[in-house]
Amino acid sequence: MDIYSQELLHFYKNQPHNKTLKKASLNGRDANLSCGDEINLEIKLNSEGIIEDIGYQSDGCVISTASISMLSESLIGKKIDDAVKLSANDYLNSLGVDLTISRQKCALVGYNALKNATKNYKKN
Amino acid sequence: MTNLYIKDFPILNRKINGKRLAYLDNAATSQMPKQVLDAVYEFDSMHRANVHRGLHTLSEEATNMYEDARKKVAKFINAVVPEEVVFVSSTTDAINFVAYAWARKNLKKGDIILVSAAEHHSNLVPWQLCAKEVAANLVFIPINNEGELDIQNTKVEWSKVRLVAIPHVSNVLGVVNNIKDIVKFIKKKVNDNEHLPKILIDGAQSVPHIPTNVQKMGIDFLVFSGHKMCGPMGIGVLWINRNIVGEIGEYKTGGGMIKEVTDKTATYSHVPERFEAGTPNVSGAVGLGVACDYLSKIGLEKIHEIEMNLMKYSLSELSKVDDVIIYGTKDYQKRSGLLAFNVKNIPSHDLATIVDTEGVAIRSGHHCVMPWHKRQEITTTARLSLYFYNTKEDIDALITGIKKAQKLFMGVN
Repeated sequence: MDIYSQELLHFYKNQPHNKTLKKASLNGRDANLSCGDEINLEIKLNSEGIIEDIGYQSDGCVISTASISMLSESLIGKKIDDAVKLSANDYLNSLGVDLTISRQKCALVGYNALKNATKNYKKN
Repeated sequence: MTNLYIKDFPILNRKINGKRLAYLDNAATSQMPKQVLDAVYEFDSMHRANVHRGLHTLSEEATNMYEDARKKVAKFINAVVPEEVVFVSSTTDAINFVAYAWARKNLKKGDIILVSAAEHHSNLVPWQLCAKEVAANLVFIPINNEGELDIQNTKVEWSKVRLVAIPHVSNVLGVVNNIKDIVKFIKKKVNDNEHLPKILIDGAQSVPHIPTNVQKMGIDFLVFSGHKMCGPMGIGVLWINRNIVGEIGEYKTGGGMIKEVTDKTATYSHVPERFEAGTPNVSGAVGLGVACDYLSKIGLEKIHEIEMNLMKYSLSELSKVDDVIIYGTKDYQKRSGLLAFNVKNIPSHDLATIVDTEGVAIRSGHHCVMPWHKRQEITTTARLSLYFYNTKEDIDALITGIKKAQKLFMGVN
């Protein structure tokens, strides 16, 4: 049960960003339909491109939900340009647990939602 | 409880995460006994050659072993002649074969293909594509609350039903459908001897577990996989009723299935070679033949009895645990050894991960039956699936794992 670390469980139990933003600057979603994990992610930026708030709606397993909860918390106050540069590997490492390949797919749903959200940002 | 068969299966002596392996994922694949492993090794190490076309001793041996395997499979399902048994790579391959070689040749616009509302994708997607290409209609037999095919309440224009493709045992609901009665009902409803629908039975979850007698089922095609019945992966069976062979067209063509080839034309070989293009999975077939011997020696009635007792125990033990939801009938006598369930507030992927720490292998997901899950408004389920080498201790380990998961996530939701 190493993957259910105290930290990950904390972010599963406490999800301050599990909400809908009133006015999102960006949004993106991802789903892994083979396991039922789905995440819609919203980002609010201020005029200087700093992430002011994040909201997500998720339906899925503990790993996918805890991961997006952890990611959301870590992004607050960061520049959107830095969020864009986050690699999948760095993201997985930041979770602090050793996930099997099949559970990595669960964790990556939130990361992919972030990528899809920032893809829209690049276009703007 | 001593299980006589565990000793035959090397893998069942493994430890997983320091715990005894409790392999409860037999619907996904079964394990191979030493007898089958040895037979495959023996073939590959001492008899390996290509079949049917060689003149040397090894080729003769390989051909004889391949055709012996066909005879064993034919006997296992009580086919009339071995030629009714076509070796394919899997149940999925077998269904695609029928979809291309029979359905596309014989179905026309407006015909109806009848499937159940809880089909494995392999017995659904090929028919979706086929229906699209020939402009036929796909209609679904509903599932009742017990998880049975509700053929009596199926709303369909029976006179247009040309093909029925259904499971003998559903891989998510685990209920044993009464195929004989269902087939009788359908033929009575169609009521036209000249246009009786063809019946294809998905036997992937039934042939390994309950006695199968194709001569008593009133069907045209039976499909199943070797790896789910203690045989190797990559070998499957398509049984074709010899009375309809004339209606079968081409699926895979090329070497091994021809009689004569010119630059522009080819004529085809006799059945069943005609349906087996390319080099077959000979060692797989040999292994499957030995698996048939192995299972027959135990007896399918005995295998079914062992699974029924374990299923009774599983249902009883699971119902003692708070917050366990069981899908399909709670009557163990209507079931095969397969059960989908959930634990409230614990996503099934996480449940499967945690029970794995107790050495328990179960499946989590949609089990290739997405539409059924969507209709139930469930994302995923956990599934335990038994075979004759499972024990009550395996179920006890699962229960321990479930309680471990409940403790870990206590107060989380």
